Amino acid sequence: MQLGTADMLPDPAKHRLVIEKPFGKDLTSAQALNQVVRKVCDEKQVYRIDHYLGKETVQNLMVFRFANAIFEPLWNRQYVDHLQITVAETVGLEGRAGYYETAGALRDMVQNHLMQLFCLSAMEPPNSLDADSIRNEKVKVLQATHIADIDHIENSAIRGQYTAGWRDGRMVPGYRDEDGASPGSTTPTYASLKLYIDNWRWKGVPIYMRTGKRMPKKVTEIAIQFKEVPFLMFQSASRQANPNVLALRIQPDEGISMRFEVKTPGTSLRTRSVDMDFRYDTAFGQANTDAYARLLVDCMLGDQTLFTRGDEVEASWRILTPLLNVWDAPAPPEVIPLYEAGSWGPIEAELLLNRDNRRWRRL
Amino acid sequence: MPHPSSLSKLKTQNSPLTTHAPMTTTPLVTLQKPKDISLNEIEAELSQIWHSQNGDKGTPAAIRATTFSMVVYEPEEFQQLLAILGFYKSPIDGVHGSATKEAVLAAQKSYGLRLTGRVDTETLAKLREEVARLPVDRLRVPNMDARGYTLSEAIAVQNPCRIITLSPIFGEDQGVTAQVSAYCPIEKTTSSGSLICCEYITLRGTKEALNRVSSMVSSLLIPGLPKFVWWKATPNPEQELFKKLEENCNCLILDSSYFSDPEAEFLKIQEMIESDTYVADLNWHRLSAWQELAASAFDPPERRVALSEIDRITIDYEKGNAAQALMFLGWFASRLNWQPGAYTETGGDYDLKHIHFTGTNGLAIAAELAAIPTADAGEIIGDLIGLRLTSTNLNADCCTILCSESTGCMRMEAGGSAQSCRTEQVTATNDQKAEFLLSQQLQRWGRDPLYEESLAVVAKILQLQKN
Repeated sequence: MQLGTADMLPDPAKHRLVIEKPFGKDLTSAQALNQVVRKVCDEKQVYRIDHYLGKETVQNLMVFRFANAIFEPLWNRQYVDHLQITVAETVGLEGRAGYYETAGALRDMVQNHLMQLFCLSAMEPPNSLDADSIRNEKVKVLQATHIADIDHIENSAIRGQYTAGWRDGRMVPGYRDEDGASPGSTTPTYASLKLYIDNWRWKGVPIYMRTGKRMPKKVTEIAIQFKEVPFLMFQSASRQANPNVLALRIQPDEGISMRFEVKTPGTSLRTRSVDMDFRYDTAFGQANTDAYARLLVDCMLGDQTLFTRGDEVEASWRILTPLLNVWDAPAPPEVIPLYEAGSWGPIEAELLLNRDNRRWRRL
Repeated sequence: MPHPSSLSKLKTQNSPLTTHAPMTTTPLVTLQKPKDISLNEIEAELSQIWHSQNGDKGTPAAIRATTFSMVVYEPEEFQQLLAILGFYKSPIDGVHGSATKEAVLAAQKSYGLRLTGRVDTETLAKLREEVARLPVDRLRVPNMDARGYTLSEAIAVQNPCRIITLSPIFGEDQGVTAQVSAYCPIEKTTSSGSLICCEYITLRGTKEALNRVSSMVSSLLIPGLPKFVWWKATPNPEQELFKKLEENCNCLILDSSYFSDPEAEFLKIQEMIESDTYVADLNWHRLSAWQELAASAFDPPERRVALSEIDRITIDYEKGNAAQALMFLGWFASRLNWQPGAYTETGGDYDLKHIHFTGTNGLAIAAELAAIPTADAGEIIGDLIGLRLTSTNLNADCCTILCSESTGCMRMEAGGSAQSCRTEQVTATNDQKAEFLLSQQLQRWGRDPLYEESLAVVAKILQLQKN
């Protein structure tokens, strides 16, 4: 607003506005924020930055999907069993209590980073590579997406908060004991969600997302788990159901791995799962530049492709609104499930998938 | 003279070959329905069946399977106890299905025992006590005795053979009665078409009566073909029948998941192996999934080198039977050349057992076995539920966690172990039925050195326990 009144954004072709998250704290505030922004400048001038979009593997998602002929035919409800999107951090609060207490995992991670990963994995092929073609597709898929069971939020979304635990062999404090956090805080440091997309491509395929602080590993990945073979002729040596999994690792070790069955050596026809692994650093050397640097260059060049459009932000808030209504309500500290720091989240999150006869990947 | 029933098709069924790969539908044809005969007529009766069968024109020729013969010793004590006491009305068949479970529950209810639906040691003791109180003439089992038939159907399709079932009964010693029958589970699709058939011989009598005919039983094993004995009880080298069968068979099959004191039985089994008996434990096959997954965790070349750094191993199993846990530890230790050095039990809720080994290069290794109380262990007790391999050398990339879906990974991952570990959640392959494992066992010939080497380590551990 002040930038506008100070007349710093007069020329839509020259002046650009870069906005860092949070883009509001719910749908209403995001809409208000967008109104304010549009009052002083054109959408073409606005660059909402999400540094995840600056990462090589994230950009590669589109290349992988739309520059190869062999994957896209499988990329639908006929072959895909489900998707798992994981963004796990090992850090705790890191002195950001003031911000985090009001945000929580949903606002801090899900609405922006996870939703971006989700869009790129699930959207339809864009008509071209220009910024609006891609962003139109992202908005479209977001508009078709909803929390799996809105009437029973507890069956489709789980929050959690870390308690004291371990990190690199040392004790670390629980969230409520961190500097600046309220001792009775119900701020979620972990969130897992089950979503459905109501469109021709994805109807009925669950999308599971999870993010958390103080997880065992710093890892970001998208995993596409394919359906099992219709008829099992060979027995797995470990008697496990071994579905094919395509994992797109965003960090660490950016790369792609494909899990499939091979015959174990010997006379018996038993199978075992192996991974075919591609890693960026072994193929191209240490190429990845800083995500922010890449995005700022794009901004200077006027390329909005890797930035979030206003309606995109609103669409992703809309998905989370029913959840925010429940999770934001004042509640006694005991309603929030707890997990030990250094573990993969609360037991309730395991059950979220176990109920569907699935399980989280152990990364 | 018996008239072989015409080749009426009894029923068609899917082969129970494996749960994954159903075979094509197979005709199951009755050649001879179960027929009571006297002991010395058995062989004559059976050859009569084949003789009259092959004179019959127009029907496919029935051929006796020349594969192997197997004695099944099936005491099936508790179905009989339940039947004598009036709780169980269905056939005595060794199949512990829902009818059995209901009967167990009814008995547990009326004696005020913990309702588990399973015959635990406590329930078995009570049932035995109640039956011991009854006069001899009340020790009759009114139920149909179907022992031998249900089992045989399950394995016959894959393994047609001669099966001799020994069914000990309660009550007065009135000698041994015999029944013979023949079924043809497989039809070969050659031009003439021929049926491959199995022979069943069932012998019933009290334990004492069966002991008296031990030599006769051994003579029923077809000479020149492999001879298996499936002993569905704890091995008893003192028992005449057991001794005779052990001497005369090529392979003695046991299932240590049934043992109430596997530690003691393992030492007996080890003695038998040392005296050159080929023993197979069906419970050993229940470990194969865990062995495979543990091995595949070290498939990547960079992890392979760290294998020798493992010096901590934790194994969780369903409380009640430590056989699988001990065998797994024995397997792992024997693969890495660990020598058992000390054994301690600290008990507690988890019945903790600690075993210390010395590895190559003098590495000190600590193993912990924890018996986890589970709400419902299912029919097979003692299945593995978790495994953790770690090293005190924090730079070694060897940490591995396998955790079963049934109990989750939390116990194994607690205390920060999730951070450096390769963790895999395992689809529980709990409750693999003995019948299924048996047909796998029958596929293999020759002794299993992996099993024998593992058991040798287990025996060493148990010797330490005794001292």
